[in-house]
Amino acid sequence: MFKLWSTIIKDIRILSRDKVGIALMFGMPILLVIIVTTIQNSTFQLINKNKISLLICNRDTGKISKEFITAVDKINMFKLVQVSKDENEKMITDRMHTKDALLAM
Amino acid sequence: MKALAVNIQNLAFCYPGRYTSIFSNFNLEIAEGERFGLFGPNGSGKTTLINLITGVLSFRDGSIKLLGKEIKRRDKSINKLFGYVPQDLSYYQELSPAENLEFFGAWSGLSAQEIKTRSKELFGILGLTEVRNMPIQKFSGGMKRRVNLAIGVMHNPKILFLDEPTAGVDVQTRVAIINYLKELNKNGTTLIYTSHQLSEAEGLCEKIALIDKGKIIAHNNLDILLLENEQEGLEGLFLNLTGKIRGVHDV
Repeated sequence: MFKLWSTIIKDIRILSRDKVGIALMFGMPILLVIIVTTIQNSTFQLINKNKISLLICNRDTGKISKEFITAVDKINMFKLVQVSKDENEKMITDRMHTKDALLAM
Repeated sequence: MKALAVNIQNLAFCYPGRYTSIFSNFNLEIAEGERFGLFGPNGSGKTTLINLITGVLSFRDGSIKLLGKEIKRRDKSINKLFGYVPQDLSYYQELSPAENLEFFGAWSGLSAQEIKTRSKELFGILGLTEVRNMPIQKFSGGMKRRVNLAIGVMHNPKILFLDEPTAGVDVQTRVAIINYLKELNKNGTTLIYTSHQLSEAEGLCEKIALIDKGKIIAHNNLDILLLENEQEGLEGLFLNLTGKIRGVHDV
């Protein structure tokens, strides 16, 4: 037990006198956390700010279809554009070109 | 007849991955209380032999006994029997001499009180009292050597191995170290010394062994060997027995 204790004391003494060692031991992980967090945060913001346009043509008048659209909206990735239910597929395809929408449902 | 401090019988050793043996059927006996010198040219096997005796290197064939205890078994009591002052300075230079002795003393099995008492005693003997709390990295070469020696003798070993203990120190420090070693020997410590400082060895060693290429080429009292070989000093004896000029291949 005394050997273990003297070894711990010895290592604490050596470390406390090694300023560069302390900086590397504590500073480097902190720096790494800051860098990774910044990169992840900027990626997250990029996704949130640039929403994908999604044309929605809801020909269903039921409750479930409305709940589905609300759920898609809550994902926060899409900019929903409601299309009249009278429009046919050709018209929706044309709207995708003019509105520059990538998706349509 | 004195008991044997070191008894090596039929030792064989070869470094892993090498085909040639450093030692083969090697025998050596060193009596308790002797001041024994182990000499030989570079690469003759002196340091390897000390590393084998102290357990730094392990061997398969033969036996090494320290004060009658087989070193192969490596029980903890064997570690307490000997001290080792290596050629390379072996301590933590970020720490002070007091902190180093505290650490190495604990690992030698001394209690906190024993460490305190022994450290104070050694600092006084080796002239380190005033610098005992300063980091060793600021010390001169001589002071570093004295700290190295203090660590080796911290636990009052019965056998002390010294591998060039005075390398790179001034005359005053060398004389102080040699006098301290003689004092230790008077108190019963067996000294096993190796160095290239042959003039220093003449003053310290009573008995010597010359080894070359892993074999003992001479082993006796220094005075008898000088007489037998009609030499006046250890340097002449050394050159006479190991050859004046080493071959190009040896170099």
